[in-house]
Amino acid sequence: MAEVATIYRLYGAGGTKYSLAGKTGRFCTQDSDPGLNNPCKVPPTGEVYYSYRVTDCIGITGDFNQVRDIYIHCDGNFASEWGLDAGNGGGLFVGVRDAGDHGLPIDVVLHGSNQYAQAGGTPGTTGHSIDDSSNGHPYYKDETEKVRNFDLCLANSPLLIDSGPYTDDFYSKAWVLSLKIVPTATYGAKTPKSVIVTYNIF
Amino acid sequence: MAQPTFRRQWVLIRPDGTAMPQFEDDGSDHQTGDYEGPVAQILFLPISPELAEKIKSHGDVAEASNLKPLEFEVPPGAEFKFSRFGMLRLDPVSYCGFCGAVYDYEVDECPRCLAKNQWYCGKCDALQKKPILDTILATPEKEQKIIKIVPHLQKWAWRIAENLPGKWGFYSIQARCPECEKTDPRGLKLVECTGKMQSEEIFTYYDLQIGSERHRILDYKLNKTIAD
Repeated sequence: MAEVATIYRLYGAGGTKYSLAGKTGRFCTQDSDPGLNNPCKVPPTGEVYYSYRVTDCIGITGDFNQVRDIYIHCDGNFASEWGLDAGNGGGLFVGVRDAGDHGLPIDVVLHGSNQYAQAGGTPGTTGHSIDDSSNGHPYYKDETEKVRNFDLCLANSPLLIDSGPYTDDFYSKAWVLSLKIVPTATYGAKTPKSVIVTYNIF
Repeated sequence: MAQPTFRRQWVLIRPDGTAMPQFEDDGSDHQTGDYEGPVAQILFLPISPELAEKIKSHGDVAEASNLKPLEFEVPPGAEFKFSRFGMLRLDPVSYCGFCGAVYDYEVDECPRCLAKNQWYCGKCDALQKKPILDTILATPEKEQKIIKIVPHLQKWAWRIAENLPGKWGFYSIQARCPECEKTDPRGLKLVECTGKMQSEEIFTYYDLQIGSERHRILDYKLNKTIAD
């Protein structure tokens, strides 16, 4: 049987995996499946708010010889379609490493270590930015680039999350995303958008 | 959970003339990496209805198709690389709670059974087809105001709000009964028959490299007509 693939979102202190199948994966200001609670806020003038960062991975089961080269990309329109005001620094940002895979190791056996870090912040108001020098993500905050505007990760320039290879059922390394919301961001409900995960399977 | 849908299968032809198809006659499958020996030719053939049923009996997903057969020659000694890619997409879609149809996110009415969300008045004990809709806008400072938006533009309320002067955003909708409005204004209850969710779908394509030539073979069902 060919592969079965699922996207998971990790929550909680231990990074428990929840399938996003049939759900809308929202950005919010709490570290659990929010439903419609604790939506992201537009900050007052002079401040910048963030969503709680989300940590997502892909899980693949089934019969295959090898899976490798897992990339993510988007259509490049998150900031414009969500009114995040990229011109003033707003947008959707993804954690990046200076070298190697950009994905976050989340499993000692599969990835050699577990670098998952629970998202934090002030529930209902703001999360911590991935690149914050004190409260940022430990795996990314001390890198040179730290974060990349996800709108730059397009089909012809996708972000390498996990080069693998995997020869049996696995969870990939994770990608870490966070919204940066500036005071000039537009207020209101947003239309869902897609994140696309590509993998090479043999 | 998503599985790839196969609409065409590959067949590797070895130099001795023997063949290795992706799917055997009983529907069991081979992966692209199962055979690493010399190849003389590779074919891509549409899945027949009979084979599709046999593939499904093994837990895979297949659809019969009339995709054009493709044939590639591999010259002796030429470099040959062949693998499959999966592209997992999470896309917003609408779904119907009655018939289970999944359809375009922007469409509010089920195209199969015509179900849609309805407004119910408890006093009239009836569904109201033309409710009085007030769109409530709010600012980050929690200031609110009510505007009227014509029904067929209601789904764009959030976008209309963004284009108003000031920092207005869509907050909520208040629906009232047009019958009760004259004497005893009443709010309406939303009866949800359709919903929004994210579909999870794997699109498959093959990357084929023969010598210096590289081919991408899609296994998609195109929803629009290909121009001649």
